[in-house]
Amino acid sequence: MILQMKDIVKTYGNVVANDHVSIDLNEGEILAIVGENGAGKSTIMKILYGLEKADSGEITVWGEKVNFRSPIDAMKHHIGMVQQHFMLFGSMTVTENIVYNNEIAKNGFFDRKANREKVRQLSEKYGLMVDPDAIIDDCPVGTQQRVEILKTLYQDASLIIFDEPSAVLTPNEVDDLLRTLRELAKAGKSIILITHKLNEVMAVADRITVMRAGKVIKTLNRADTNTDELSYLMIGRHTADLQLRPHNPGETLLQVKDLTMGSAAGKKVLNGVNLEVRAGEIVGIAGVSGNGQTELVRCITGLEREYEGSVTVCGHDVSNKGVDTIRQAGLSHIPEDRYVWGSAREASLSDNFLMGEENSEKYSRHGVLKSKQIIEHADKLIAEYSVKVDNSRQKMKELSGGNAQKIITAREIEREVPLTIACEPTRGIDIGAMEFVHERLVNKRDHNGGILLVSSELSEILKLSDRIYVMYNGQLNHEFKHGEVDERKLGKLMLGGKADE
Amino acid sequence: MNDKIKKLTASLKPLLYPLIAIVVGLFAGGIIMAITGHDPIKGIFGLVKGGFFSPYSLASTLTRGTPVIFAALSAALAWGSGYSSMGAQGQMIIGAITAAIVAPLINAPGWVVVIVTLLAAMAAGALYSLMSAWVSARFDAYLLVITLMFNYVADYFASYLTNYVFLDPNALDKLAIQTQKIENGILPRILSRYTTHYGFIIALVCVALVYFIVNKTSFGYKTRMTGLNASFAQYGGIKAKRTMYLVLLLSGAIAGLGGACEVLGTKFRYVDKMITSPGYSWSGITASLMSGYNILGCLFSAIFLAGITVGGSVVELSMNIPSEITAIIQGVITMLATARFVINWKKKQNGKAGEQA
Repeated sequence: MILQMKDIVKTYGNVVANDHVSIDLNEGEILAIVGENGAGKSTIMKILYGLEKADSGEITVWGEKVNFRSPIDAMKHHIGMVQQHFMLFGSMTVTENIVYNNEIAKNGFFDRKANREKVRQLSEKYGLMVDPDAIIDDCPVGTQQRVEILKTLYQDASLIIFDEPSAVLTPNEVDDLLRTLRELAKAGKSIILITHKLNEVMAVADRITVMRAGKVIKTLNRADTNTDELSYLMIGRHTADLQLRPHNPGETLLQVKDLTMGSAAGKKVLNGVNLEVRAGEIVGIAGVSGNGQTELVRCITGLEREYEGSVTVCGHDVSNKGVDTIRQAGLSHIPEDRYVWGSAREASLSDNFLMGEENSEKYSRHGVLKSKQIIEHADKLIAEYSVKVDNSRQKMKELSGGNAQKIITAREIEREVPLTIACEPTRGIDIGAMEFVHERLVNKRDHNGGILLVSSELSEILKLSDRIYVMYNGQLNHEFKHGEVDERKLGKLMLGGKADE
Repeated sequence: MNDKIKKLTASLKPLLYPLIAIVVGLFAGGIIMAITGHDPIKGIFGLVKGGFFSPYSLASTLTRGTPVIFAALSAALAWGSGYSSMGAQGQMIIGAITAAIVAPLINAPGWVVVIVTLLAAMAAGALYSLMSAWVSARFDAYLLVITLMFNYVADYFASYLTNYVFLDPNALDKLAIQTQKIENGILPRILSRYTTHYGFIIALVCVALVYFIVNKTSFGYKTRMTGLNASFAQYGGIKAKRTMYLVLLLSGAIAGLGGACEVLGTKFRYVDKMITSPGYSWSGITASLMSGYNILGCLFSAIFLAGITVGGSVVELSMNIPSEITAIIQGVITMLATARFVINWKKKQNGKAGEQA
């Protein structure tokens, strides 16, 4: 046994993040730690990596009792961590990033040749292919992650922690990552994988530790368990299997015709996009981010008014119209970034709930706000979506990311309009809440609402959509009905592959 | 009960920072006094006492505070909506000169003259503010710089009008650059013994009105959200340009009203540099920054700043401490208030980064 964490306790104020958590790890083993957001899995790893200090408990690494004060201590003990968001210098080369802080020098100068050679050797040894001279900003996300892994290997880590490594990757990149994890374990490295994606866990882990509400619920061998049991242990109850009831779509709520938009560089960001959403259907758009989804939504919602082609919302031609007009026509919109577009962090929750309705008769009269109705509405949505807050006077910034997302999602789904544009409606929220949001979306569909769902979470698209479009390079190339396509095939099409490959 | 205490402490929290700023500002003033060979404890004590702790000094403070409150409201409205207008000074000048010109022209009962004059000054201030907003929007220039420049234009324009068009021919001092005295239609004193005039009551009404507009109306909601996150406001369908023009119109009208009250309440005429040299608008902007654009906070901060100015002249007379000490204290407070501005901004940046980490 190379690592033993015993009875770790960590509290933040009166929140117990880790309640007597014990974890152990063997050499060459892949241990997955699974749990919902806020289960305490990141905290325990931060403690191990020296980013946080435990209140009590013992950590033994390679037989030595340790007490890390910073990641530098952890690195000295051969522990490395691949963070969810990379710590790389974007304008520097792969080599420079990997050897940073431990460069091979010649007469006091950076020895470009020797460093590059070292990186090349390392990358060949572990099958992590990178171009040592590439600039980080020019590398795809998958490559950047490989650089992060190489960085820990260069620092001679034998125990590597991966924090939600697949969150930022495309399906094909995820396959590569899982292969890498297995290779590393085979080469004798010990790995801790933090995730909430159970299929990945089942694909690579040797043992699985399930955490819930700061406690370790159970540690199991992969061979003795399955995803159903794991998700039951994670959530503490069985998840309902959501089924789309067959439903005949009605009138067209959203019609986009020949939408074309250029960028400053002269490249076409949107190139002749046609799509429609009808009453009583969820239409999903799958695609790797940066292929035009953001721009498409900006055009439909009126945040972008310079484009060719036409947009019709609920029978009103709203081409090149502003946000206000389009919202009036009958559209609500869950934006893709909850803090940039979706909320004002310094404003109260009730103020955040009011956005878009400040002129409606329901919440104002002769320009004076009806405070009572506004607070009631806010309290009702907070209760329905079980947002964890004291009251609606609290500021948005006091909420965790998941709870903030719930506020925005609730505001837009529950608006009494026929059409909802939902971008990443469940980003960063836990499984229980995600299920609830999915139910509400499907409920809206069943009540003859139309939903355009843009999500990087393929399982979400596959589960909820009556029809699926694939977006690649500013075009909608393929259309599928519910159940006609699987994750693998979608993943290929999202990268520009052909349907029959 | 516990909930009530929580609510109370939450509502007092915005006061904490201004208090710290005040304490540090006074402390800095004390250090300067010590360096220049005065007793800092006596000096600071005398400063505060001279500003607040006698009916006479309190009345002087409220008189001086009146235009500062108007300037603070004007600034808080604009800055709280994300529009960094420095134009309160220019708009006050335009309001003041308008009042000085309009009042003598009206032949009517005094209270009618007052109302018509104040309305005219508000319109003039609003128009002047809209002009700077238009220039800023049309030529895509920083509102902050444009409004600053407009302040100079207003100042010299008013000087010109006073010197060459409306100069008081009966002035005893032949060098005084001032307009004719307004005989009919002034704002009377509240108590005849003290200088505080009804302009102060008008300022209090304005505080209540602006508080209501900002916190209880749809329009105020739009301005607040625009100030807190302009992208969020745009996403929700709030029309940015319209909100900007309306906010700056209102902000200019309040400043114009403040200028007019100063004419009708204390000077009874326009005297060259009467708005610029006492630094009313700078104190006002400091007050609004100190209070974090909180409307009620503006009222108290404005009165406090006026108080230390009055106290400053008292200690100058009684203890021979230069009254510039007040400028230093206000300078330190401004610096701290601006620093908070930077800290908040940094926090926002870090918050975004933290969200990603």
